[in-house]
Amino acid sequence: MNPKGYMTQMILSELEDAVGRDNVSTRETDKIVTAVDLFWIPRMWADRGQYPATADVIVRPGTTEEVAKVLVIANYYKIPVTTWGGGSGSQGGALAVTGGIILDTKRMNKVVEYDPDSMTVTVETGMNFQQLEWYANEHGHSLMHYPSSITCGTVGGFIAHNGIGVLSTRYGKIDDMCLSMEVVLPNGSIIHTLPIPKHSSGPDLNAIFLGAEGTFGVVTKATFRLFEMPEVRKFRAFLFPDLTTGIAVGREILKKMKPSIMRLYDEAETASIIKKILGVSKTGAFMNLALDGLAEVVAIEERIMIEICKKYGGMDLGPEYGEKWWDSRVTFFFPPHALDLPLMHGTMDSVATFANIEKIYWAMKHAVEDNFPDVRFIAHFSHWYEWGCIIYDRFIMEKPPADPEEALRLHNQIWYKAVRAALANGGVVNDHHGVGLKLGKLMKEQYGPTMQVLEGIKKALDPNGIMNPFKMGV
Amino acid sequence: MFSEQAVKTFMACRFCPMCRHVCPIGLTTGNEGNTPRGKGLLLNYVHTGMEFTAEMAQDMYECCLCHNCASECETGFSPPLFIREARTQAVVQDLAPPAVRALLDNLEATDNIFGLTAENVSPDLREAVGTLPETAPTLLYLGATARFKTPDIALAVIRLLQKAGVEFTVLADEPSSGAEPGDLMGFVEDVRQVAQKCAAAITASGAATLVVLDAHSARMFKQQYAEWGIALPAAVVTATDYVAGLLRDGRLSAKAAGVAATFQDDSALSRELDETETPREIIAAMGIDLKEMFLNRKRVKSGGTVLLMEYAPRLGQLAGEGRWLDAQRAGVPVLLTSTPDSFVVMRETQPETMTTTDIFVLLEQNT
Ligand SMILES: Cc1cc2nc3c(=O)[nH]c(=O)nc-3n(C[C@H](O)[C@H](O)[C@H](O)COP(=O)(O)OP(=O)(O)OC[C@H]3O[C@@H](n4cnc5c(N)ncnc54)[C@H](O)[C@@H]3O)c2cc1C
Ligand code: SF4
Ligand code: SF4
Repeated sequence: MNPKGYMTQMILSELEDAVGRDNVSTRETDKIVTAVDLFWIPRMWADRGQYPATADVIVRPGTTEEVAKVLVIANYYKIPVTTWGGGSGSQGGALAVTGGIILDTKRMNKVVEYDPDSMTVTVETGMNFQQLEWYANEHGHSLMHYPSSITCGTVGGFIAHNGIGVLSTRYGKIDDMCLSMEVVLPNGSIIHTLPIPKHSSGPDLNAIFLGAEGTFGVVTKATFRLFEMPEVRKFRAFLFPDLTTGIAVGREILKKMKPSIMRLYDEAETASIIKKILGVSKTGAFMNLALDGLAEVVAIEERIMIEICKKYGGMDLGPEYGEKWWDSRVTFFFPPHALDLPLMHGTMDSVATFANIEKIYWAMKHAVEDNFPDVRFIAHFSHWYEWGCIIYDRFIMEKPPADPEEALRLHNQIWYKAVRAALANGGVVNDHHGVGLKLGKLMKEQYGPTMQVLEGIKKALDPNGIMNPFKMGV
Repeated sequence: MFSEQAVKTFMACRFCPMCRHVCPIGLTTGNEGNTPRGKGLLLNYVHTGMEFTAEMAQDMYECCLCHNCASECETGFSPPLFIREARTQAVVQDLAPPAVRALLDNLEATDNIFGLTAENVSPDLREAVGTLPETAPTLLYLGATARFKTPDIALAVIRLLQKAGVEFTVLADEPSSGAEPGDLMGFVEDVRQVAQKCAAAITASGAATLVVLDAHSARMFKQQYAEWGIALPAAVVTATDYVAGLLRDGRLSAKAAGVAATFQDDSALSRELDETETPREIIAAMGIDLKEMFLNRKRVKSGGTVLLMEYAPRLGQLAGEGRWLDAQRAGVPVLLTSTPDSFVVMRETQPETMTTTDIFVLLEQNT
């Protein structure tokens, strides 16, 4: 948008008419703060005093109707619209890479309906997830979605990336928790998925928007399941001889019960954890488990769980580690503990069946360590299903190149090599951080001809291609 | 331009979204700039050479210094530190918003942000202060908000101390503690001089105990004066703490107020002065059925401050309204406050269905 152009002024007036003058901004400072999310590249640029690409205008609608008005305007003038929630996404999904409008959802932050009979809550999607969780806690309930970024992200952001929390093995991912939603399509139509997700009335439309990263429209409201607080949450930790054994234990436990927490660490991560717990070095694969529910039921499950772990040669490390970990589980994400500049780093989660998951671990580890000698690789397996689990793996480089262009190039090479290794072994581009700008290129490699389904949906819903261009590979 | 600690802090905050969920301003405006991360990122750019602009200055004033971010930060960073220093820059470089400059002019002319003088104090309060002795072992410090905006609260505290038989006085021409100028332009030399003048007046009063009604001033006396090495001859105690003590010692006794109420903690009192229980003691003494509000005690969501209301009325209004949504959910008709500042911001933004009542006023009516 040419800031001096006649049309620019007309469009700004129309946007102000839609959402109110106070909620349309072309201030430089507002552009700067929405030009850096958790993606490493803009942060690296900011660290080096460089100025990332920005939106032309930031618009903050307060209602669904206002979102619809903004999209009608944008669709008519063919202006790109990028939805911005908490800016805590790591894939550059919320960045206005082609300028245009940043649609910040955070004014839409109310609880719309609390239904304790159905154990559901309906909220506007700009609501901060921690605020929503506290609201539910006030009623003695929980959404049981506890990502490490619960204080950072919005409801819409977690829907857009199909996020996951630390209790997911028992309570599920966002797509298991979200029952229905309201979406504003790129042409401004307000649509609703069916009030419940389980039916035989055509395909579940929620699935189209869960994980769509704002490329098919703006999710404006969502209904979630509520859970009662568990009577007890019991922790237990074990050290297994190696990763293969740890995965076998996880598989076995999932046949019998669903722990709320099940985190298995590779040998590199295990070494530092065990040093902290036992004060001595010991090799193996460390697993932290928790069981939630009624005390009586948990007592039985715990007995069986311990039996399984012992059968596989697990060293019982008791409940203390898990209890402490729970209390300090997000400490790691605060500076200076969090992985941050000047390091180069990335979290490359993938998910696969039990048949493939260990292969993926080794393939990604080799892809990173064999090709990039100064780059470390660590991983754990943190969310488990009856059929497989996710790998949460990270690369860390202490001294990335000083030249921003070189740094960007190397960053992308590491990502491509590692994710391609996952794809070649039955994995997917990403488990819960999404695709964004970062991994868009790999979507076609992952889907092959199947990609035309996503492209077809995009074309049908957004023929002018205004919604979050160049994200998610569509 | 910035202190080493401020640089360390905004370099930590610039990419960190971990405390955005508690910012009462960001939560209500939905503006990404109204987050500690947003402010830290802007100052990161200034640090690496970008010009500090009037827009940035404005952003630094879109914060009520409620310290909620600092208290949620598990590693102990405190964004108000760099926000105050950025405000210093704004003032020094003549980039502060006009409304802020107007308040600074008021402070210069009248020693208070309202630009009011002793004649503007309500006749009742003037008279009550006029009857107090010149010097006494205890000095009650009211603060400008109580003197000019909520004389009823000031009068209630005066009467409570009288009922308890406390030998006390109030300075007829009470100087600024430095709290407001410190919030408007940072803890600079000019503000230190304001503080020194105030300390001198307190010293001259000969009091051994300083009871402070205004929580921002109490924070100033207890923390910032100590940091500056400005000695106060008197032990500093907040009015809530002092009155709770009078109730505990049986020097005051309350009857049941017959009210069902919720309570808005004052951010300065609960977070910066670590005082969450004394207001509740006073409330309990009146047999009030207290329905705790969503986010209370140290986690209280601020409803803004009088200072914010004065230079950014729209933000002040939004912050107050944001907090009222929580207060209304408590399902009781009365909201209690424990400081003049909290009372004003909540009353100014009060919905028709509810009333705001100060705990000293209520206690005075029920003793
Ligand atoms: C410290 C830290 C820890 C993290 N841990 C986890 C974790 O444990 N689990 C996890 O899942 N993620 C985690 N993340 C990643 C991040 O928090 C999530 O990706 C989150 O979903 C992003 O939400 P947001 O509101 O910040 O979205 P943003 O970053 O603002 O946006 C992300 C994407 O969502 C789109 N979007 C946002 N709102 C809407 C909407 N209403 N409608 C349509 N599209 C929308 C945007 O356009 C963008 O594509 C972590 C991040 C951080 C900083
Ligand atoms: S105060 Fe702490 S939590 Fe908040 S932005 Fe700064 S480092 Fe992050
Ligand atoms: S001090 Fe309060 S208002 Fe200011 S940034 Fe922190 S949380 Fe927000």
